[in-house]
Amino acid sequence: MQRRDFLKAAGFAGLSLVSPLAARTARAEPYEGRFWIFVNAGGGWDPTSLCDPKGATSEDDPDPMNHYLRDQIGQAGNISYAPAPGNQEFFDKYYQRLTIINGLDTATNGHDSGSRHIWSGRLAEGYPSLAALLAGSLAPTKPLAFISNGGYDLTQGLVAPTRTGSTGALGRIAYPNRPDPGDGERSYHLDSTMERIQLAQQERLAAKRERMGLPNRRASMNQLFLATQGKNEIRRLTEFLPDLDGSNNPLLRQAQLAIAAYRAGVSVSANLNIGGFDTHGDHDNRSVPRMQMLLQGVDFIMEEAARQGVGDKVIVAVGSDFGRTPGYNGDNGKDHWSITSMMFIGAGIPGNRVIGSTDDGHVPIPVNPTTLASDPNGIRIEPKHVHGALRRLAGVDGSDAAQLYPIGEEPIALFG
Amino acid sequence: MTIRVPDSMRQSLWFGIGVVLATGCVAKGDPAAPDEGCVSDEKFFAAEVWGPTLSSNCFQCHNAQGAANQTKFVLRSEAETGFMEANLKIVQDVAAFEVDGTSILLLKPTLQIPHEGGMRIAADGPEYAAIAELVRRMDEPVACEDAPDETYFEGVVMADDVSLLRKVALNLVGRLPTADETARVQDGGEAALGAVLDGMMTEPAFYERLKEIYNDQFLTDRYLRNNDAVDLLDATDYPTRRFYESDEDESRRNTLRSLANYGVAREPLELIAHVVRNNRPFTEIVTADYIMMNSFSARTYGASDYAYVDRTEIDLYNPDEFFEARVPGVPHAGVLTSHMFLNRFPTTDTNVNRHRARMTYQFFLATDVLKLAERPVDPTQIQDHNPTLYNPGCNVCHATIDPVAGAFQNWDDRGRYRVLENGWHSDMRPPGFGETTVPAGDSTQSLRWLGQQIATDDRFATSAIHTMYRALTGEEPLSSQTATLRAFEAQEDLFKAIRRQFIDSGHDFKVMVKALVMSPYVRAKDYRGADRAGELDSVGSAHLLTPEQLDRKIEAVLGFAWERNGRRQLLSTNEMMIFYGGIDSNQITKRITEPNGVMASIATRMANEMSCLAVPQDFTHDAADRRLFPHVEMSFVPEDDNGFEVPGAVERIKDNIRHLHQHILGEEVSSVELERTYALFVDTWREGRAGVIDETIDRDSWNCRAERDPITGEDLPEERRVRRDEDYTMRAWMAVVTYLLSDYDFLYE
Repeated sequence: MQRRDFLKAAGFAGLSLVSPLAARTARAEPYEGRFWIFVNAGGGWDPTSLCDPKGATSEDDPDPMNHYLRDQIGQAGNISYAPAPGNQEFFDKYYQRLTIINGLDTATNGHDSGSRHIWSGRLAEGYPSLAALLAGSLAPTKPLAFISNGGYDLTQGLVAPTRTGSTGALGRIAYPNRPDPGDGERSYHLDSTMERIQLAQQERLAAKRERMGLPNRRASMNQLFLATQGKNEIRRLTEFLPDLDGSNNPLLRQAQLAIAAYRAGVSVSANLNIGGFDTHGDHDNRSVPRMQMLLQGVDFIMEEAARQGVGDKVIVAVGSDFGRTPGYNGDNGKDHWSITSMMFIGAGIPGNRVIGSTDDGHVPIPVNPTTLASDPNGIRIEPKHVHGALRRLAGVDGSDAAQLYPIGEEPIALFG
Repeated sequence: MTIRVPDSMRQSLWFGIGVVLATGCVAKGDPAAPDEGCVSDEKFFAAEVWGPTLSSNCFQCHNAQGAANQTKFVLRSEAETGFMEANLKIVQDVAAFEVDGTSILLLKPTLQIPHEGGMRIAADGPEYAAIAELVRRMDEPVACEDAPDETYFEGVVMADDVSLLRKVALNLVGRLPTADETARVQDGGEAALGAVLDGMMTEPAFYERLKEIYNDQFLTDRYLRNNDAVDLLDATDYPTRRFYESDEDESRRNTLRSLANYGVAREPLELIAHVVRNNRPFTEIVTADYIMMNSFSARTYGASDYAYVDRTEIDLYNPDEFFEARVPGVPHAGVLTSHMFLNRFPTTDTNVNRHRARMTYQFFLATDVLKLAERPVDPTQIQDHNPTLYNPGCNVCHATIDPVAGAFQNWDDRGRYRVLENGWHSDMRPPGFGETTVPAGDSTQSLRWLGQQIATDDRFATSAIHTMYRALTGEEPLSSQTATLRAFEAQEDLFKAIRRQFIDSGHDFKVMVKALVMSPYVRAKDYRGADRAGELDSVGSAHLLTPEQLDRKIEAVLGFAWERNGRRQLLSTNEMMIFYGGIDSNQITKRITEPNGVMASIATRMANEMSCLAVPQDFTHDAADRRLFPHVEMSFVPEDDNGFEVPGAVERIKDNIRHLHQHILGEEVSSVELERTYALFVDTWREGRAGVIDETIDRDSWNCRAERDPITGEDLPEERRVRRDEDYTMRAWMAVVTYLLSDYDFLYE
């Protein structure tokens, strides 16, 4: 199947032209599967300041990996963590739900390619982000199927990404036929007129698409058709939207919106994004506060999901472009290093688990793909292994989208 | 064994081809003989040698990072702009080496002489034959007219000149063509279209669009808010940067702050506009020995006689009037030395300007440096001293970017001009460009030198073409890695032809824009023919309008902007802009190009709000002055009380539907679509009319009425007001206008 034809299969061919009311009823079932949240620490984080701690051999260490000592490294269950502010609270609270993958090889030092590799599973260009692939496989017509707050969000046409702007405008977006979204008595058109308009539009678009011979125009018509399918469901979102956080931690507000969208049954996946990790200079002073915000964000996701009654449905993956070089440069910073870590928590993720490891110089130690133990004859864990495991966990490894974008890894049971 | 090294004659033969490229297909010694079946060496190489053999069978070792990177045969990555021409030249150079009269290009891959990569092709296979033919062609070089592959566009239906005029007018100047422009193009065809475009490219709206296009790259509008731009200037270098702070009047102080910051923030984008507006060579954007200021930023810089001085007469100075000025002691080099550019793409002590170098390649040399080495690297295995200099896994990129990074040597992390006292880093490649090093005498002005080098590089022209291609089509230029070879070659041929035209015109930006506008990629509107398996994927632009473009189109078509409480809905980040896929140049820097449910709902809301405004307003005018309803009155109903058609009225209603399709969508409506729209009108009218009669629906149109002029805010005369909708025709027409305003052909171009 040509990629551009995928939309054809998922769009016009899959959804026959019926009255908008009937269509709405048919499609009104909310999405209730797992909600996938991908938290991107933009710029390349330092795993040795988090879940793959190294430390300095002594206070006189001439080339310290970190500015803390090895004997200060903390432990929560099987998980070791760096003694940075906030880490102990986070790991003590969540270690029983966390899977950590250390020694993950991104095979790149470039921001774009690293981000792409981590979130699409492939170093080369052209693959959709996992968030897009999941949304495209599980519920592509939901109006906020894939929420992107930045980071790697290529969709390859599997699903349209949604950005979230000022929530003050959401009411007017959710109720486009009401002059005042809070007044259900008045409307621009009768409901029957709106349905008549939408049906005529669908018929016109379908006829136009049928006649169109240029593939990119056909594809764009498919995209618009799919976009219109779920627009009436947006009003559900307004029912679940809480007062949004106004702090300087962008993850909190992003998480609130994402979880509200999931509760409304209109979202499958979301990219959450926080930058500031590209610390070539003054690493500790710049990185530690960002890492605290990151962990605060993950904690908030879990708490908010529990508050909203969907704590057992949310799954969170946390990652970054790559890692940072062992030791400090002349500017007291750390440069790019292709070895990194990822953290996973939530529905279906086994807890208190660390897979993979690195040596004192943050070089990966090979892993036996069957036992997951260190093995000099083993392999390096790469993003493709993570993506293969996540696809299987999501049950989309056999989907059309997954077939279009095969990972081709030797399967490793990273998540049980 | 005799080894023959290529002689100068062979070299000159190859380089001599350029002289006859434009004269037709030629063979050695017969420079004037055209041949319709001509296949140029370049095309032959691309189709028969690069595609089937070199890219798949040789490149894996013979690349800058590969096992054969120390040989003379190191091929360029497909990610590099111009890689095909460069690789043909590399192959030609290597093929000239012979052993016993046979090129090593044939001997090595067949293992007739030692080859560390072993036998790659059979001596009796088609790959060998193709390479042999390429080698043979070296003695009889073949060049053909530099014309695109015409058969590539076979079956593609092109928009006529008038349709193209509307599309381009909306894209470049955000308005509909005037009646005069349309008439000129109808009469004069493409030549007249060119002349009309010349006129459009003098309009202020064109320069706003141009700045919008380039801001999508530079993202310097990030600094438009507060003091954000002014604060990037050094207080010592520019002691008057915050001149406004001393103003005791708070309102005036805020106004001055805003205007000065605007002037500083917009400086690089205004340079682009200035160069094009004044028909200067476009290369001046990287060579200009001045920067752009308005009167307020001039005061900030303390640099001009035209600076604002009189605090009581702010209105005398136009903040949108920018002029050339210089900062004493600073060697300006266009955008390269712009404070905004240097701060938007900052550096650190360890990054040593590599980020700036990367963006320089991306913006001005059509090259994404990072793609040159998108192959796995393993820094944990690197043991080299100074790997960026010596390790092939690193220097594939660093050999390209480090010299340019060095050229930024005198500009510090805050974008300040600070001449290095002890020279550039000795452990890096010296400042330069490609293989050329900055001359010692230019070291304090190395960005000026770099700007001159970029200006003479063909890739500079390509980068401008790519930028405008994206703006006109919404598509990325094709990559040989993802497109079919034929599709890539067809587009490359076109770009090469336009590039030649652009360079020959003295880098006249407008010449380039016109050439792109006339190209099949902008003109194509449909295809009739057999399935071409992805070959036409990039032909025929169909991009979702950006929030800015949609905002302009709404106003162009209806005469009113989509506003609420004084805020343009699609331009405000507090309203719909981010939801509708726009950027804020800060946190959100990539546009969404495919619609989602939220965007579809925004489009519906826009269509509802605007039909509610525009339909009653239009009926306040005499028919001859109306944009939307010149053929009908509100009293024109399609059926009488007995349900029989009212013949005259039906015709007028259909005439008006034709007009609406033409005016709003630019479409000559077909009979099928006419009937579809008419049915929408009639069915809506019937239902509403019945409701009015049985009094379940009000005769007053409470939500949508015209009592004031929406532009001036003044009350309309009583006799022109539209409050009641006795026959439910206005609301039926609103349904039609909503239908058209949220249609694919309105939301896309």
